[in-house]
Amino acid sequence: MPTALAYAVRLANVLLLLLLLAVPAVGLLTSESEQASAPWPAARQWNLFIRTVLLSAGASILAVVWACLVAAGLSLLTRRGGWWLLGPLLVPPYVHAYAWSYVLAPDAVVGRALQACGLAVWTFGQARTLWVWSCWLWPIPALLMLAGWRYGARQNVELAVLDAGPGRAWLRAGMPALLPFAAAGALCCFVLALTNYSVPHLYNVNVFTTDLLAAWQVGDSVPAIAVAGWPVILTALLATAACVLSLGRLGIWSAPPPTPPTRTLLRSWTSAGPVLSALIIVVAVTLIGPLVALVCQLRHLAALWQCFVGFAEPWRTSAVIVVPGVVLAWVIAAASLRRTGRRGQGGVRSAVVLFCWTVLAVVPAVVWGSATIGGYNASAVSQWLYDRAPLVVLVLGLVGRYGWVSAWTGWLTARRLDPALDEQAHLNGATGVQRWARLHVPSAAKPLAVAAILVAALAVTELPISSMLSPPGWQTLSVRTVNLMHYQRDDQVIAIALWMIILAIVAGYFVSRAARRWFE
Amino acid sequence: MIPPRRLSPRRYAAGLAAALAIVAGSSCQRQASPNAENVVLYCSVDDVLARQVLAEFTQRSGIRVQAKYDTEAGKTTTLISTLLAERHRPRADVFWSSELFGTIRLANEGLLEVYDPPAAADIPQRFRDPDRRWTAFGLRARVLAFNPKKLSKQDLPRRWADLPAARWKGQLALANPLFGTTRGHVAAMFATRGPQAATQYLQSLADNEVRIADGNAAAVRMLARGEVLLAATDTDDVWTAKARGESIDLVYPEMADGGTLWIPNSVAVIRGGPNPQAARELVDFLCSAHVERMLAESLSRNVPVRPPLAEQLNLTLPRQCSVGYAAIAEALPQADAAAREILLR
Repeated sequence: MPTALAYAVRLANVLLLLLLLAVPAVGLLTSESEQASAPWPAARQWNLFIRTVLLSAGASILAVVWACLVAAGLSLLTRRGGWWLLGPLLVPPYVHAYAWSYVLAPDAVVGRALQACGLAVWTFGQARTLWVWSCWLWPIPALLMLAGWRYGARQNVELAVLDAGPGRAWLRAGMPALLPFAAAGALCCFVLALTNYSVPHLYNVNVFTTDLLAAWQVGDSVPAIAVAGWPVILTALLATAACVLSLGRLGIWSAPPPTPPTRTLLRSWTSAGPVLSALIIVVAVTLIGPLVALVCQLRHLAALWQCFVGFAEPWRTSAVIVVPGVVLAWVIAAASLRRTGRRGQGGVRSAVVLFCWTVLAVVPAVVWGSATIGGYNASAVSQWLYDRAPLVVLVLGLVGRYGWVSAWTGWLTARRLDPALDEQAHLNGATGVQRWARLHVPSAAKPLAVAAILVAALAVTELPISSMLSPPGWQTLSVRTVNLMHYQRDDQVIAIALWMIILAIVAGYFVSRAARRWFE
Repeated sequence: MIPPRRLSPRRYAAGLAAALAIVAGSSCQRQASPNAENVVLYCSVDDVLARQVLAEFTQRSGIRVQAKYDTEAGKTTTLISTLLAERHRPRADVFWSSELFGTIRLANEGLLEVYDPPAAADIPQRFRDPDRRWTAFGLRARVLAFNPKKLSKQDLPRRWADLPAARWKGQLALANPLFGTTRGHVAAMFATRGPQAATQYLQSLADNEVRIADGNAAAVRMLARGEVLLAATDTDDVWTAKARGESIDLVYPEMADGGTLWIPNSVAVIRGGPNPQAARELVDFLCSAHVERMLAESLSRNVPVRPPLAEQLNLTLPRQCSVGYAAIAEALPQADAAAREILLR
């Protein structure tokens, strides 16, 4: 990469972050509000907050349970990591929720069986929300635990398996070493569930995020909503910090990846029975079951093709989001790749940048989206951008929402680069920018691509921000899908949902290939 | 350790430039054509229905409509919030709402242009703003939907006030009372019964374990799946479900004054919108008897506000609730606060 382009990329990243922070800040400051914003939430909101935290925590714990079973199976059965888990993770949560509403309907087999047991499960909106969150999120702790498997847990199990069966060895010797990774995974799930809107919305559960959205929709001022949202923001930031620190104490962030395993730990296929069963049960219950329920509801196979006819607008919008989304996500990841010290030590600047991206991620969507609309409409220049380049506004909004994936990937990748090469380049007279452009970025091509694809895939399926910022004539796929769910156009919804799943699997496959080669 | 890999600077530069060109090109694509050919519509009507109407408008006038739709659950209110945020330099030309109360709020906030559409000359005064800032058409009633295989019409409550009975405990689905027509329905109760009685009514619904759905269609879906026995919804959602083959029927419960609450669509020109001429043409079209006929003949079966047309289409109305739409709109803030506090805990 030429030095001039390197400077351009880094400048673009700074401008992007400043824009994403400044516009909503201006929106908050310039909002015409006569409404007094109470800094302390009312009793009703505290109740909602406690409910939200409990549901998120419950979903996180359940997700970790699923993840433990999957991680046990995959770590013992395969030599390679479970990067394919990125595929299911990219299936939007509202598709999960929609599929589960079929599985648990009173006239469905499962719903009838549960009813026979005295459980009218369709009335348990909160339990369903918790369940669906866990089904959506468990790949995150599973991926982290599989990463942790290579940092000590595998050695423990290799020794223990000499005296015990693989399941017992994994549980007694491997699991203690994996606990910090499971905890970090739980915290990730907790933050994502805490800020999720679509699942409780579809299951008619009032949580903190849906209540904030309702407040905006009935006319509460943006600053009042922003102030009201602080408990969620603070909790999410604390959980993120706890997650980073817990893994940082293990030295994971800067440790080089160990040598990949060369054989599986199972002595025979008979000993694989329990772990294999657990793996199959989890995947079948949480992923394949709902998928089959969706396919069974499809009355006409032709709907799979017809969902492209008359749906040009959302598919075109998705395509337009993907291309710049990939570029901007790459820019963010590449710029975050900087090694601030010659020894690869993190610096205050990196920490601040990461903090800003994290804040953008954990601020409730309604606060960020409404403040952004207000910010763009606060001055003539920003209004010009809002009117004349509305898709840029949409793409920036979505990238701002998921930029943290890129930023954290870049930061993490910087710690995995070979310090000797960096030192050698420095001794040869290369400047910081030259080392970044000609050594760090080319070396990290794979993880940068992973981050870019992940952000683009997540952006295409995002709901609240795309609903608020999509310009006229550019309805997004997620908004159209959720609307069709309401209009009971089941065939169309199922067809789009299946295409989303297929796209997620394809994206997950390519990401997994790139990620596996680099990280292993 | 990672081996360094030299990538061609040209590839980076070309890729980055191409992507940035796509961003810039695609985002400005819609704005490049002269504004006279476009009109920007914020629309909270079901997009499946609205698209048919707008396609015909484009075919007739040659004006392309760029519509922004909302999610079904948050319809109207999200678009109104967006319109308020954009008030100093509106992006929208026309607002077509599936209900009227939010439009009245916009009119009171000074966001709507005074325009008296010639096509609306035969619409009764009740459905037109005295100051000509909005026009209403295409009615839907607030109804109780039920499954005729499980209940007969004789079993059903005749008045909305009868719903808190023990028999319906946990058996009523109601859309989120902060959004759409349900919001207007709750406000109408405040306007007809007074704040104290209406608040008590909401509390009794909450005590009777009313199930809150995230939209009228979702309430009907809960009914169709057998999760509840009754769904408070709009006529169009029942007709749509019926057309899909669901076992579903409806009754028109009475409001406090003995009438039925009918809620019209509404349309208005946004003050200071970028395409005022095209906006007027679109409003003329939407207010026309032709569109009312289209809406009446669609799955939605909206009842025309023009009595001769309704008669011609054989769509008769139960007696309308006597309370005025402006009074209902005035009751909205009070109703919102109570509904949020009592039903959305």
